[in-house]
Formats: sequence, structure tokens, C-alpha cells
Amino acid sequence: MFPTLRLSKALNLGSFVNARVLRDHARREAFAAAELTRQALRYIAQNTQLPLLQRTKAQVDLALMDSNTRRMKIKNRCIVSGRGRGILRNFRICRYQFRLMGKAGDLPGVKKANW
Amino acid sequence: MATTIPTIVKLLPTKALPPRERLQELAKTSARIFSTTYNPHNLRTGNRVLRERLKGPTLLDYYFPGRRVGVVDLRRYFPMMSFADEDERQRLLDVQSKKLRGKGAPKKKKEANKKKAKIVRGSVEEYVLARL
Repeated sequence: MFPTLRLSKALNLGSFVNARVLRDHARREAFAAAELTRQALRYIAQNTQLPLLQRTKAQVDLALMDSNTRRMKIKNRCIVSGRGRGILRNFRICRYQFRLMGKAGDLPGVKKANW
Repeated sequence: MATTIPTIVKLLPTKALPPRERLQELAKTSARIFSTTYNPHNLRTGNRVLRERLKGPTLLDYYFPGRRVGVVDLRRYFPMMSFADEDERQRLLDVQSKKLRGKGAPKKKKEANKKKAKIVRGSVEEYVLARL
């Protein structure tokens, strides 16, 4: 499945964990590890002052990098239930958990509207 | 910010402009003095990429903010130094004390169960005998 992804052995995610959350976290680690290389290659590729051959080579290198090191592969998931859709970014939880926790008063400053 | 010719022109008191070369020279000198970029033709130098901040650390902090470094990480990045793993030491101590109290993990089976093998191969009578 993901032979190139390796999770940190000291991994202790405090949140809800399932395979998808783990996979997403592994992608985050892969992205963070490769980010510097990626930016350097992007700089070379976008610099019009450099020779064309070098720029093309950088572009090819970028395209050949592992796809799991891409930023767009990372998806924010719910930290309470692991759900992938309907996430409120500020709270990092999905809409249903937001409702439950908001009603229970677990989210500071969140109150059910009533008028 | 790079000083461009239009900004210099705005600063000039009169509308009578000096020649273009003089203005460019001025922009160049000002760029040199204030160590800004002099890029009169707006070429793409890729500096935009260099100016971007690294997003990796923030993205890593998503699921459990602030708990990224463990003993294993320290050992990996500083192999010349030694680090004590308190949790692991405690676990080993617990295992040892359990063993001393006779509550350790069971020993591994060395041979497969012979009875079961017989039952599978044997006839119905043997099976019944074995069950009795």
C-alpha cells in the first residue's frame, strides 16, 4: 500500500486513531521530511535566470518525487472520530462531533443559538 | 521592497523628468544602498519560493500539537549521545517483577499437539476413543 511511508517509532497520537488517520499522519511526516528538497527544486525550476536544462531537470525531479510528499495529499481529519468530511478547521473536529461536544459544553465559547 | 522608477518619479518635485538611464541608475544605487532587489525587467527569479515559510512543522502538529519529539527521535538525531527512556525502563522492570511472581508470559510451544493430529487422520472409532 504505502511502502515509502514510515511512521515515527515514538509515535503517540493523542487523538482518535484508525488506519486513515495513521495514513494521513504518515503523509504529513513524509511531507515535512521532503519539504526542503521540494522547495529547492521549485526554486530552481521557477528561476528563469538559470539554464533551461537545469530547470527542466528540476521539474522532472519534482515530478518523480514520491507522491506522498505532496502537500495536497494531506487531508485534515476529525481528531475525535477520524472522519474525513465536514471538518471545522478551527476546531479540527467534524460537524457531528462539534454538535455533540458543543452541546456538552466541551468547546469553550461555543453555545447553541437560540432566538 | 525594490525601488521602482514610478515611485522615484512620484517623489520628484517637478514634472520635468531626468532621462530614463539616470532614473534607472538612481534605482540601482538605491537598491545597492538599502540592499533591496534591483530587477528592472521583473524577471522571475524564484525568490517567491525562498520567501515562503515551511509548512511541515505546522502540518505535523495537527493530530496532537506539541508532542512531536520522543526519546527515539532524540536517539536517531543525536546518535553520539545517550538518552534514558523512562517509560521503557519502567516496562522492563514491570515485566521482571511479573516473572518473579510467576505471572510472566507463557513459554512457547515446542511441538505441535500430537493428539489433534491423530484425530484428524484417524477413523471415526479412534476419534470417539480419543474423545472418551
